[in-house]
Amino acid sequence: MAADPLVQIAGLVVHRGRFTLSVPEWRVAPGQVVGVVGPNGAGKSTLLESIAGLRATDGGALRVFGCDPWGDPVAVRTALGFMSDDLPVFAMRIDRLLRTLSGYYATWDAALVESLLERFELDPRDRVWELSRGQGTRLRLVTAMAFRPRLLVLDEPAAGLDLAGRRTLIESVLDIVRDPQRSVILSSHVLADVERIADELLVVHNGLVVRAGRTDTLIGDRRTLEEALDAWGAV
Amino acid sequence: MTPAIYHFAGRVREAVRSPRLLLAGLACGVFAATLDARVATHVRHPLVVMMFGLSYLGGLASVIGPGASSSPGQGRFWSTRFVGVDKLDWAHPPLPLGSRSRVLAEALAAVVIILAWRAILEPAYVLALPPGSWAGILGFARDRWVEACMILPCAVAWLSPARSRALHVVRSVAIAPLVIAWSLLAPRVGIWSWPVVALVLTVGLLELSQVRLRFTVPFRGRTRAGALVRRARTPESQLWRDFWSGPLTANVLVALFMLVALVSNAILYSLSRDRSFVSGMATGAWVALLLVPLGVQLLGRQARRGGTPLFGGSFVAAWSALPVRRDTLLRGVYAHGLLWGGCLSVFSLTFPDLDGRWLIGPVGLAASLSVAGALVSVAIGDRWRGLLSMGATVVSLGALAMPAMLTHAAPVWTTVAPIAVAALAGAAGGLPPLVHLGLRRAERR
Repeated sequence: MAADPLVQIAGLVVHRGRFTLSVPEWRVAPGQVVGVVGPNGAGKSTLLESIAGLRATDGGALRVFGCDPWGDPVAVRTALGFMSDDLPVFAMRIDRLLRTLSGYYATWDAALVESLLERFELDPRDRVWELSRGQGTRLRLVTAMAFRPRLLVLDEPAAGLDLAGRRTLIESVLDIVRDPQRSVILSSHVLADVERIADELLVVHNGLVVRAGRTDTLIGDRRTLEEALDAWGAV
Repeated sequence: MTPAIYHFAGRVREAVRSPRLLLAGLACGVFAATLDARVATHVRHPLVVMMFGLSYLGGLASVIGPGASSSPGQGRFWSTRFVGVDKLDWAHPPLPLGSRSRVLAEALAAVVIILAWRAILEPAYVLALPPGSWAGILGFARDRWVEACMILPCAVAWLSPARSRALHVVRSVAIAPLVIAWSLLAPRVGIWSWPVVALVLTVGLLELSQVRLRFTVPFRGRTRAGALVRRARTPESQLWRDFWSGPLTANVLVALFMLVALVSNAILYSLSRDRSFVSGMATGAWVALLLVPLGVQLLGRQARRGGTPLFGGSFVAAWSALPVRRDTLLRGVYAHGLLWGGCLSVFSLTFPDLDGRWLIGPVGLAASLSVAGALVSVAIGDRWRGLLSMGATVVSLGALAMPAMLTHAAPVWTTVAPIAVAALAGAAGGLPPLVHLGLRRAERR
């Protein structure tokens, strides 16, 4: 018997100004890395924000862990880690920030946090507002992963990261999905990384789903993801 | 905070245990007490008091400041403090203590030693008072408290390292006119202006000082996993804690100070009926202003790329990834705004020379509605409602100023009309943002 999907979408419609995102049907099963790709303005961030309960939906059904993320954000975000490269964080020292956040999660793992800080080379005594863009991205990744969420939603996690940071990111994501109950959804323009780690792909363009399915099936053996996107007109 | 307290306690213990330090402190205290005995009955000028303070400082900073601790094989910090800030690295071993906390702890230790010597060497001062005179004893305690407030910024200026000798001298000398001016002006305002000014000067000096040094200790081993975690609760109770009890416990010393200030001032007022009660209320209100919004880091305390515009909605966005309901969050912001506005009203009540000040309180509460509305709008990033609330606040305060300026002989309507305007403006600015408190629409990020 298949495990209950972490995310279940049916006929989802989200309006953002004149832009409309439409996702007819989509599921995210546990133990997967799902890559959401598409050009700028395709609706990737809108979709991920809706999944995280940061944005209301205008039609259809969206269930995360069986709950409506907008209507019941506490139940959803207790087990969902969301990271976006422009998400503001409290301006304080990193250690104080982490301590503040830890109180909101029963599953907060201090040992994991320490190892992530070392892995991402962050000094807990640094002040958030003094971090570079890449360091800020690393910090947001740490805060999103620190409580071992069942579902990790990463919106442009590689933005501003150097090569070492991207490698660490990939290692961390793969660590997470070693647990078959946990999944990662990530959107990125670094297609090589997505192609490398994503089990499933969701390709969106102009608010519509162009392709969805297993990465190897969609791309095939003889081309790269970039070439595939070219072929699908989703660049 | 805890390492700073340990450092402070260690410095005091070191001073008490060292015969050399005790002798130096004794000499300094005798000198000061002698001077005080000579001038106490004749001259109570703040300048004289300040000179005492500087004399204590000069005597004791050398014995309990950083110069007292030498690093084996590397000489004394005292002799190299003007050379460069990098010397602080070896002068202060890499304790788990920020340089800012260290300077403050050193200064507090100096102040404590100074006051301890005064208290020991001046029993005659107290004994000379009429028996059973609480006011006299309170006055003695008050004088010591004032001295502490005066000496603290001087000690901070003296103890903070500087990039050059010239800068250090300039800063140490520049603090003197400030303290003198403050000493002269403070009696007009009230005794409780002292801690406020001391706090401002100390914080300003710490900001200006080169105390944001970073030690070149490698990352590993500088933190413990336990330090990065606190006990988890349900998100609702945790939010309550962070919004209300958290800031209070995080600033417990400030809260205690406020409590002691208000209680002491009430006692003083019952004894002497002077204006210090009023200024004490003002101090308490301002401390409350500082305590609550800064404790919860309500405004301008979120970091994001490209800065944080006023109506960027960064506050709500910063909380958005946490398992917290947005309407709960915004209700907390609104309540903070009400509290803030209420504190402003209390503060307004303490203007002693304004004839219509009794009107300020109730109408100020109406204005607090618009303050709360403005805070909610800023928190969520609602520009138009925020501007409306801010405009209403300005109108309210402007209308409030009118009855305050009137005399008792003015017609009734000239008082009632501005009050009505202020109340209406407060309501007009405070009500529109209420729509956010139960909102279910797309969040602006």
